[in-house]
Amino acid sequence: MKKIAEVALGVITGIGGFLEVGSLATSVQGGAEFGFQLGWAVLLGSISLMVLMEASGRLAAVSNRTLVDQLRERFGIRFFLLPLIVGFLVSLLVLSAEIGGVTLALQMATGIRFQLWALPIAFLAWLLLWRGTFGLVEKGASMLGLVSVVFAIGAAALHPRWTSVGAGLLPTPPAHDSARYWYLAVSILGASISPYLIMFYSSGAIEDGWTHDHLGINRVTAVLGNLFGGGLALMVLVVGALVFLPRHIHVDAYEQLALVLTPALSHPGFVFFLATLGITCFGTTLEIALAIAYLLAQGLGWQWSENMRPSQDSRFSTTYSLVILLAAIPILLGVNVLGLTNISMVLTAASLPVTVVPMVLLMNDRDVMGKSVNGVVANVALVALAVMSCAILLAALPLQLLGGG
Amino acid sequence: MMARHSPSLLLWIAILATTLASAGCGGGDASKEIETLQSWRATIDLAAEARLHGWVTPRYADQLRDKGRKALSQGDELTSSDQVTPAERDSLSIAGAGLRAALARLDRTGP
Repeated sequence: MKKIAEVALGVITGIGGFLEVGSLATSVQGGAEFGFQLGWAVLLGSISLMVLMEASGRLAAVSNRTLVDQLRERFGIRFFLLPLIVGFLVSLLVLSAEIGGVTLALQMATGIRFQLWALPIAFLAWLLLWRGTFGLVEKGASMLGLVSVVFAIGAAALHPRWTSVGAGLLPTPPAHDSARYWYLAVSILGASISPYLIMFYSSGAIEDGWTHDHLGINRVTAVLGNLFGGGLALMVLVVGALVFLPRHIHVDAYEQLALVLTPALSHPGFVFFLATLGITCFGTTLEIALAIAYLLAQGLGWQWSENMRPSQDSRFSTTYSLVILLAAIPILLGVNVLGLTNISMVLTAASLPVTVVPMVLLMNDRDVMGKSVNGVVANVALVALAVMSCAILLAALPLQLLGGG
Repeated sequence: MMARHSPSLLLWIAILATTLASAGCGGGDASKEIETLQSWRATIDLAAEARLHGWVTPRYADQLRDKGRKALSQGDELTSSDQVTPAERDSLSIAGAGLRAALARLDRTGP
């Protein structure tokens, strides 16, 4: 019974925590410009995240070490500096975009300019991390994030042709604007497969004291959580396709996004959109700030745990305090949040190889994994993902220049 | 070995970067602006409909109106510049008029 409750909680956490500023923006943009045709990118992103989360959770449960610990120990500090620096910079950009998402939701709700919300939101996030526990951050934010289920209701209310939605799950070449199509595909992938998520998940497994006994829970949570979460992201794309595409609305500003649910759900659609944007971005703000602190603390050998008092792991808690403040500065200065989101999603996708490629080696190392090394299916999936991430790295700059708008 | 290959490698990178940058940034300004104006006209029309039915708040409609006006002034700027051909100027004017009319419709929905 306890295991069923743990699995259910894990799956709910996966669903409620899936959507955030990047997946909301890129899915609506994808739907608005290419209809259901980019559904495959959402599906591929969800499956990829499923593979990586399962692997990083298994690694943590079996070795009692996080992915970051293993990267540093197995490959040495000189190699580790690469994922450390890349992971830090990209996550900081995404953190800034998430804070921007919360502040824009508040601007649309209150009329007070988003810049003025940057510091209060940063302070609130810091306070929750300072006073809260890992369970509060992970599960509390995800439970509230279930508000995003409104997109599934909105999509159902718009009566899409499900056969057409299904057809979009298979990649097809675009009829127009190829560069933009591939740029959005990479952005959608970046929004789904973020290295910070994998590091956060792996650290969470240690925070929650996972052992071999949790391997089943890890697998079910990773598969179902991402399946349903990805399904929700697909519904965002469907709503964007049905509401914006026929009207020829291209998303140039977050303010346009708040209209997307109104034809289906009228005023509640507007209110729930703002709630979804604000809550999911705030939850992700907490998670990314922690993920960056985990990355630095584990990489540099500091004491770390969100369940400890800040005085017990002062360098860890100082790190998340500083990164929240640092990430709030661009928002305070009035940066274009949609532009920041799109660029950070492409860079996130481009940064994948530094995490994914070493994972292939780690997951096949018997000294680390013992009997739980990758099987054939897991290896094929992980190697395919590593190849795809390298291809994205090569394509990211040209796509940003040609299709970035 | 590295030193021998470096100049050609640098040249190749420079050519690639210039090609990409010119492909990404050059040309198509007018057609992109026309697309933007048309997109904003549709956005403002949807906002007017939403406002009329009480689906969105006046406060939010004001923010969209401001964004729409900003897009319009950017379009007007390009229309009056010498960077566009007469045909492009006509298309820009038509798209701008469409957005102006949509903004007027949103204004009529009241505060």
